[in-house]
Amino acid sequence: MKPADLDPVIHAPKRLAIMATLRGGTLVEFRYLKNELELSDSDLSKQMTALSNAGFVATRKKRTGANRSTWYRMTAKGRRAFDAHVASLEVLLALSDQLDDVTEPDGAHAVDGGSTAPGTT
Amino acid sequence: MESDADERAVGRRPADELLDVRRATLRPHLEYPAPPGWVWPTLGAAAALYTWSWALDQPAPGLPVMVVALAINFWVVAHITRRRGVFPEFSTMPRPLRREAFRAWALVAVLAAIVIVSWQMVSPVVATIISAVGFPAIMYAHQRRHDAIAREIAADLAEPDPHEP
Repeated sequence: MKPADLDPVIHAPKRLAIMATLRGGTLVEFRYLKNELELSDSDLSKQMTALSNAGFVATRKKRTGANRSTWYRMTAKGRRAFDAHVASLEVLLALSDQLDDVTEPDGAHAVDGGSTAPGTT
Repeated sequence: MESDADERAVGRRPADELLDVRRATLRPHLEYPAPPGWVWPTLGAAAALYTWSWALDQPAPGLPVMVVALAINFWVVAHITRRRGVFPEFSTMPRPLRREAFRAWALVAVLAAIVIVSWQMVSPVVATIISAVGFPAIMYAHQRRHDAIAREIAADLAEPDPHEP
């Protein structure tokens, strides 16, 4: 596993939080994601569209009486991408720990905790 | 999408991101509203109907009664899922919660055996009463234990990261 496996679609913090929540639930409703992640309707819609376009999320609209609800589930492709992304983060964490060990004797940290910002990987 | 690049975790440590991922993955198992109180007597009635359906002539009227009992169960599960807004994924369930789920299933299996034995050795009425009381009692106790464990896990997750400066 290489840090290069970080997925650019998932890497944005909001989408990472959404994907992690979807990993924990077989089916997750729009309202639940909105409340738990404290996102606006438009922002969440935008993020879900990006994830859906990437093929990471499947959408199902349900109608119960007068109420409409939108449910999401992670696709197999999304699960693979998310698991690979998390594994890459673990590799990065191990690398940053090694860097810390190398720099600690001098009391100075050459790298600020192994930032995952684009370009640093 | 490019604007999202700006909001990326610039300067965020992998440890922070992994902790956030862990919290978010556990969220569907820990944070949701409790089932309403009427769920337990409804499940009891469905269990009683299902058990009693075996005492009726098969396929009619026993089969329709059985179907109604199963439909009530599915409807209750669907209602709870709608209310929660999430259906937790078993594979990502934390180990203590999974142990508690297995424990509840084992109790359900034991009670089912007791119901069958009491049906054969005592009477269908006694078996139906045991079903009506026993199954919802097990599920209610399971829900309470699940909530207690979930609170403990949530409290552990809420503790500040010792590596934070």
